[in-house]
This record gives sequence, C-alpha cells and structure tokens, in this order.
Amino acid sequence: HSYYVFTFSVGYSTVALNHVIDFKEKKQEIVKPVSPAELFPSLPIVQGTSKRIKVLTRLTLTVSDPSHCNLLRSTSANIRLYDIIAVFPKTEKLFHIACTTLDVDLVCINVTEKLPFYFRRPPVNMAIDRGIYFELLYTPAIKDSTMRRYTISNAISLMQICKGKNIVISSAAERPLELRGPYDVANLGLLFGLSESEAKAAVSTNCRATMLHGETRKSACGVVYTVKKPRKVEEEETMLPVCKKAKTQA
Amino acid sequence: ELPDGGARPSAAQFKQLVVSALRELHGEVGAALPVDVLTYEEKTLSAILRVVSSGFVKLWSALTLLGFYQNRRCAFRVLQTSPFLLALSGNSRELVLD
Repeated sequence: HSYYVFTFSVGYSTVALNHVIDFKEKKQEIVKPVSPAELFPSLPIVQGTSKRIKVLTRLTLTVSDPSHCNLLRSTSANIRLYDIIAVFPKTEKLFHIACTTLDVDLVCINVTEKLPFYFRRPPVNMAIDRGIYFELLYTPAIKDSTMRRYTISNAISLMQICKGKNIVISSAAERPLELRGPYDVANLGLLFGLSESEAKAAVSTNCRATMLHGETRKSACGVVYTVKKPRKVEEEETMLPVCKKAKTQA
Repeated sequence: ELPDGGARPSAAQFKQLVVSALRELHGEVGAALPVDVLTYEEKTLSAILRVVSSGFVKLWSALTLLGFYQNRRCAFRVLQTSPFLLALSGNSRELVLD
C-alpha cells in the first residue's frame, strides 16, 4: 500500500489514492480502502474555484498470470468499494486480455523497464472502443535518468499505435515534492509526442472520463432497452391486429 | 522549491542549475539554448526566465523533470507562462470560476 501526503496548492481538483496489489506474493487479499475522510479531516479548496477537492480511491492490480484476473470477476465486496480499478499487465497475452475482456478503467503501461512486448494495433483499438484508457506515470522520470529514457521510449511507442487517443498521464508520487502542476504535466505530454490539445486532454478530460467510467462500472449491472418493432404491411395488420404492440426486450 | 533548510543557490548557481537541467534532458543542444534569468529572488527562490519561443517546450519539460540539486531533492513549480512580460502581473490561474 502506498499512502500519499499532497500539496494541494498546485491546482488539481480531484485526486485518487492508489493501492497496489502484487500477485506474486501468495494470499493477497483485497483490503477495504481507507476512506478519505479518515485521512484528511478537512479538504482544502481548489485553486480558482470555491469547491473542495475530491479524493477518490483506486486499486492497481499487478498481474503476471491469467489466474489473477479471476479476482476481478469475483463478487468480492471490497472491489466494489474502489472508485477506479487499474490493471498492470506484464505479458502480451495479459495485455490483450486486459484490453478486450477485463472490466477495468485503466491499463497501466510500464515505464520503469524495457517493455517485454510490443503493442499491437487490434487490442489497442478494442480498448479505445470500450472506453479504457492507458496510463503513463511520470514520477520515475524525475527520480532516475535511465527510467527517464524508458518512460519516453515506451510512451512514444504507445503513441505510434494509439495515435494519442485515450491517454492519461499520472504521477505515482510518494512525496509531495514529486508532484508537478497540471500544466507542467501537459507539457510532458508534448514530449511524448502528443499534440497540444491531446496533451491537455490527457490531464483533464480523459481523467474525468476515467472517473465516470468507474462510476458507471460501479452502478450498472445490466441494461434494459426497448425496441419498437417496425410496423408490418397493411393487409397483415387487418388480419392480426394483436401484433401491432411494441415488443420489449430485456 | 527546496524543502530542506540548506544553503539557497545564488543567481549564478540558479542559472547553472537551469542549464544543467537542459543538458540532462536535451543534451548539448538543449544546454546551448539561450536562457536569460531576468529576476531572481533568493528569499522566495522564485525567478523569471526568458527563452526563445522555439525552445520553450524544451525548457519547460527540462525544468519539470528536474529532481535533484546537488543531491538534494527539489522541485520546480512553473507559476505562469506568457509571451508578454506585462501579462505576468496577473495570474490567470487564480481567477475564480463559478
């Protein structure tokens, strides 16, 4: 688990606290997230508005084995308490599974070492259609220069495949000093090869879309929609007037 | 920002810090970028920098990614950017939205 202490004067309006679960160790249990109200008794006000900062909870699962993904499908009550769920795939097969079938909001892209697999276009396009976002971290780039190189090279290869869509840049900061302002992070997006509007979206609109994706995942368990059956030809209508009723499909 | 209560850099050391940040991220070409420190306040550790518009992205990204000053942890916070000096008198990020 990693808990953060933030400096809110930098200008963010929503913050997510991350819990990392690594499945290599045995018997990992998903614990209930610490409620934000316990950590911060009074949340400071966002710079420039009169509203308070929202704090969300987020879970990151490091998967290196397909059996770990079964946890996501289980009805463990603790998973539902997290607002955002992210998965960190370690192999190409898991990346494919995460993009196509897993019920997550974010797919983390490793920035601290050379990617063991290359991105391919089909799973990335499917993820974009499903509304899943790819996440890049920028704090390793501040700490170490080799990680800086890996961050930039992995980010650029991701950009080439996904053309800059559905990207979220976030910080894995453990100290308030490692946090950077939102405009600074948007500028880093330019370094990774995004256009200016895409870079700004990576910090603002895409993050908000991820939050909403998490909320819909929490709330919707099934969808009911009604379809109006098209009206039949005239002579059939006189013969069977009962068929004119609109049918509902559940 | 330098949180530990050590010695604060002077103006010349500050300029050298900026140039070394550029060199770390963008190499010799980055370090050759002409950057001017227009003002520097040692008490608040804040400064106004001037750079060619073509080198703006490089300078900003180099400052963002800088983590250490003489083995001490530090952070650069960019408060305002603008092509005109007069615009720096009012911070647009402080404007209140309703």
